[in-house]
Amino acid sequence: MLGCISVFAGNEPQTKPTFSIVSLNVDGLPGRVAFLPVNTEGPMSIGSERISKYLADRDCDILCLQENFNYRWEIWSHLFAKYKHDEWSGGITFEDNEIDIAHLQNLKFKCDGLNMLCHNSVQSDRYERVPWQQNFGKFSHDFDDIITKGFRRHELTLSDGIKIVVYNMHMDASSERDEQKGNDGKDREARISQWKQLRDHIMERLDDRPVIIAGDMNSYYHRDDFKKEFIDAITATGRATVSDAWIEKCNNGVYPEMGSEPLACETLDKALYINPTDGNSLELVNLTIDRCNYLHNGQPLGDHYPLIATFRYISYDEQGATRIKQTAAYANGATPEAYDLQGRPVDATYKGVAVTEQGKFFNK
Amino acid sequence: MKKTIFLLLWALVGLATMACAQEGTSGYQVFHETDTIWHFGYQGVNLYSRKMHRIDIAYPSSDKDGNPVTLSGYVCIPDEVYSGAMPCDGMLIYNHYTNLAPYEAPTRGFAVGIDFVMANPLKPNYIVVCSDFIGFGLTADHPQVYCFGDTNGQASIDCLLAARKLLDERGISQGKYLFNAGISAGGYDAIATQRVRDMKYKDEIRFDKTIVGCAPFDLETAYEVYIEGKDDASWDPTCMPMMLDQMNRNANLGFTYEQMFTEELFPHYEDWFLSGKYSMAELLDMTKGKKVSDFVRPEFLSKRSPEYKKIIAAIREYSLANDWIPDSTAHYYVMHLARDKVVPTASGRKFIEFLHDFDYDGKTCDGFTKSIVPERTRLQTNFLIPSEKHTLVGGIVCVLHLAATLTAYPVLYYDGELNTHYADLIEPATLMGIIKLLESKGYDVRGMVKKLSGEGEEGSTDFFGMLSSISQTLEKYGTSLEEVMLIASDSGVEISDILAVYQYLTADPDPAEAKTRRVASASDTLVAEPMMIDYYQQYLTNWLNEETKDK
Repeated sequence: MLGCISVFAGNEPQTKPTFSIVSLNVDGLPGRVAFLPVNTEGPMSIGSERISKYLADRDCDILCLQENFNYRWEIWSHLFAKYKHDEWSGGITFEDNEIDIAHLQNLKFKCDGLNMLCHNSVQSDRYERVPWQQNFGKFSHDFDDIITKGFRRHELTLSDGIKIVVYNMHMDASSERDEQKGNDGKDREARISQWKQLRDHIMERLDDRPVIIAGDMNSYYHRDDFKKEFIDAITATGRATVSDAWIEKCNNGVYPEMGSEPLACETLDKALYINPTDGNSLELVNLTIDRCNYLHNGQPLGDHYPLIATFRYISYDEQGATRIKQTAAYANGATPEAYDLQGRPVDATYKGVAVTEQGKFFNK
Repeated sequence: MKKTIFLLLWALVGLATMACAQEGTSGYQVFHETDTIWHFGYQGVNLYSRKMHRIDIAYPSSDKDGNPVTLSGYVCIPDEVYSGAMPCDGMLIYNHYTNLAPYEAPTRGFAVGIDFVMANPLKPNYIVVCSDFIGFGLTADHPQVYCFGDTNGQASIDCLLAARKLLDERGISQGKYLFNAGISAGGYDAIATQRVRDMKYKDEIRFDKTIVGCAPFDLETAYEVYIEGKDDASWDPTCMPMMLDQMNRNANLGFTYEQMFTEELFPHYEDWFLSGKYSMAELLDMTKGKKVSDFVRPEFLSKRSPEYKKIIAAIREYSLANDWIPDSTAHYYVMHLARDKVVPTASGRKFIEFLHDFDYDGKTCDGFTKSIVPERTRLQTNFLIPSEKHTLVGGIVCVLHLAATLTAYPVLYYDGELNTHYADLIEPATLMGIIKLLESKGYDVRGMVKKLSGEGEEGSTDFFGMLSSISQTLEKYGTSLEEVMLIASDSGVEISDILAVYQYLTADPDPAEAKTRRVASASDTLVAEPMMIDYYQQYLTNWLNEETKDK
């Protein structure tokens, strides 16, 4: 069973609400940009529709997508009825950008490729998009720096009032070529810096809501010491505990050693969750890395497999009352945003934003 | 008289502007600042233009004897960078080429050459730093120092240091990259700038590349070539007198103009070369059709004469090669026309030989291996173009190459290392690498060579027969095998490489043998019999010598 939120009925563990979340890199780079081959082996338009169908069939509550660039309509095509989504920040197209060929060094696409979809019943309370402070590789090393990679933080209220925080992200990659030649040091540096940035961002805003971190981290335990910089560092504060769903369910709770042999079953995509001390918490019910169904004619639909996690929510006190404490980071009230499938801000009244007939919006 | 009035006016303007100049906190002074426009075009036809903001500065430096002197120069910033509309990619020290007239001083707005670099459609976002050098601008009353020691190199370095302070004080970014470039006499000064940097400013300054075009690095070689061509009117007749005058004056050799120059020149020398009445272009027009021997006395054109020996001794004493331990991590692009008739090609070739053969603690520097392929070496060479036209072809090729380099660097080195895709692309860019690439794509290169050589057919030929045939064909195009071999060698393709390729392509195609001969990787090394290569190389050298002798 994947997805579907259970109805909360008392304090019995089996009746506590559950919800599901999927993290998937949808491999949505265009086949070609102008005359340059970019992702000719990717799913492109038809494959992206198949991915959409796959996601619709899974019926998860929250979809954290990465690389949702040029085929967003195809990706959303089977999800319109049940889902709403956050901001789509653009594709990799030259038509929309004035390319200064003589100064390509200044080229930077504003998009991050991130996209979150959630069931219509889920309320987005606050949304924030943050670029990484450090990237590496603009015209090589997998071109991470040519787009505005980063993470998105969502404060969500699920249908039964459960409040959680979800981070969706895409970290820097290393190319196979550079890994083989031992030339990926700066890629690793960039990733570790991103883990630290993420850690600090989470800890500055941590309240009593549990936090899920899902995305394409491009990280393996044996090559990036994010256990030390992220998991252990947060745990050491005493304010929260961090768990990795894959470690818990697929690796017997054992973290691979830094520098150890790579494990074939470990993926670059991860789902971690943070339970604040003295706060509400999550319990991992199930984790699936779906290598069996994410196929078409025996071939994977994209270059990543979906990672699907189901969580059970456990409130801190018996009343189950949420005790959201406004954190310092939002003391001045950052503008929360959510978008419908046409890309318009939704729930405008709640957010203090109104939409005009022309589709332009203004602050109330 | 005209000159005196001009100098007086210039000095007054200088004094007036200095009085209200903005004084930098670190020894430089801004004495003039203006918006200007640089053009890319030819003979008044401007194809492209670019707004630049030029800040003229006075800065402390030293003369040829090491005495303090205040020189002038400019810091010229593209308008897009100055206004903050675009980021600055870096800085360029531009060493100007031979100038004669005061109005050809960079701070007088003369920007021919560098304007091509900055105003062409690539529009590199670099800040240009250019010294007037002694003898121009604020020191117009001094004689200029021309291709003598590294005086102008020191002037460029001092100008750069002053420019850095100015830009820091104004909060203008200097970008990531720093280049040093010059053409002709400016090329000599670019080498001198690199020399001064290597010897005195290694910790403060690092050039990403020094770009040298058609430069007379080795003046002794240049002198010898001028002597060989003394009766050939196709050689420029002005360089040799200027070189003699500079050596005589700066090394205090004590010759008079009358002693050095013929009656055709010495009565006019001061007027033509030193008065400032004529530009270099005008002087070249005035001396068209003249030979070196028309201007220089025979004593200075005979290698046995005491005069020649005295000049040569001075040239050697002030050679840039003296005491210079080149930084073996520096990067160079050295370009020269194969038949340059102003600055002898052999003189420029000496520079690449100097870098390549330099004894770095008992060994040569692997990085200074000649190659025409950029980024395969730290010594990129281009001696390919068989033209005589020093300015029109050599100058333009060099400035366009400079523009392309300035533009490409921020992309190729964006991540602080050579772009890995580009590095992979150029890895097989050797003769053998290209052949292997073609073979890996299914081309039967051996078959093509056999077809061309007519192997197996009546009248088929061997290696030397092929060379003869190629030589005859080349002659039709106005060149020779010898020249082509020299050009190839200057570009990093040696006879041994050609022989290795020949042997590879004509060897028995027996698969078992071929398997042992080929290397597994696409590297440029070939497992061939060294003895065989030596044998062919010896014969080929002898054969070339014979061919040359016949002519």
